[in-house]
Amino acid sequence: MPWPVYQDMTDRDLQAIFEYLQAIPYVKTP
Amino acid sequence: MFQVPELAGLCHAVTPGGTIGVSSRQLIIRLRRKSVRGMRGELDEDSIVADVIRAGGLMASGSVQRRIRILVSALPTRTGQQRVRPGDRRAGWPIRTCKITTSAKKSKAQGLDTQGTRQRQGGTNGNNGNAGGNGNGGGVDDGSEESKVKQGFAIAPVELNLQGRNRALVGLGSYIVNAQGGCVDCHTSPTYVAGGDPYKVSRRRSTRRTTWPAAARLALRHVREPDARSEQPLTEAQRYADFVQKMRTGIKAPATYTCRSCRGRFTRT
Repeated sequence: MPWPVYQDMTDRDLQAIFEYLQAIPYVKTP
Repeated sequence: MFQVPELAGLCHAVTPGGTIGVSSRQLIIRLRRKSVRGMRGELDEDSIVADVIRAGGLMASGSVQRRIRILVSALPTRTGQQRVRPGDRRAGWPIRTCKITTSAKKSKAQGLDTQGTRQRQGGTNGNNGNAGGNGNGGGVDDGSEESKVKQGFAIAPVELNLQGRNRALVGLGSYIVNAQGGCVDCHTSPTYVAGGDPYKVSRRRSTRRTTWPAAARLALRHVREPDARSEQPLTEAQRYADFVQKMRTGIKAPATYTCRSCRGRFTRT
């Protein structure tokens, strides 16, 4: 991943990404 | 159309020293998205170049802009009218003389300029220019967070569970992950079906079935169902702190958990 780009993201953007990932339904583990 | 080595060379020149970390594949996909919008008459060439520079975190020097223009002009058309084969250097797509598509005609019929969102932004503020209806993904992109949220939901590859979530943040996150950041370009396996060519828009495939596991891998335990038999699930605050550390530093925080069978403490790195 291009960390130099992502490390300067705003807190709100990071929070938005986290919220989106959390909104993805779980994978059913065996 | 570019041969891949040529493209890689150009992109390497665009990102001197590779310090930006934008791969040629990521860049070409971004360029293609922007150029498709340009083909619809929603953006002019200057806007495409500016968007690509901003999205890629590139330096806005003259040489970079020239190279991006070269890349944009070399992209094949999506309509198939100028379909070219790999290695055909005659390939060229004149953005300013592209065919006006249906959405552009609608805009023109409404008295709006078909050459750019920028002018639409100035004349009307958002709603008046939206002739695309709901969920079409073709509405006016006025750059506001509201439009990003709407677009984010329109392009989300899976059905999202919004229970207990901030809807605006989820939509914005989807926009960042699926459009702005292009995370799915790499974190999807496979992004394209067998035989598909990632450098040809018409053959692109990214289905729910294939996107879904990759999204899970991207987020690792953030979206993986906790195994109640062996691990104590992390709290949301812990997961968020872990996530922020990864994004800021690239270093994954070691997770300590208790095995519910032997009660031992283990550290998972």
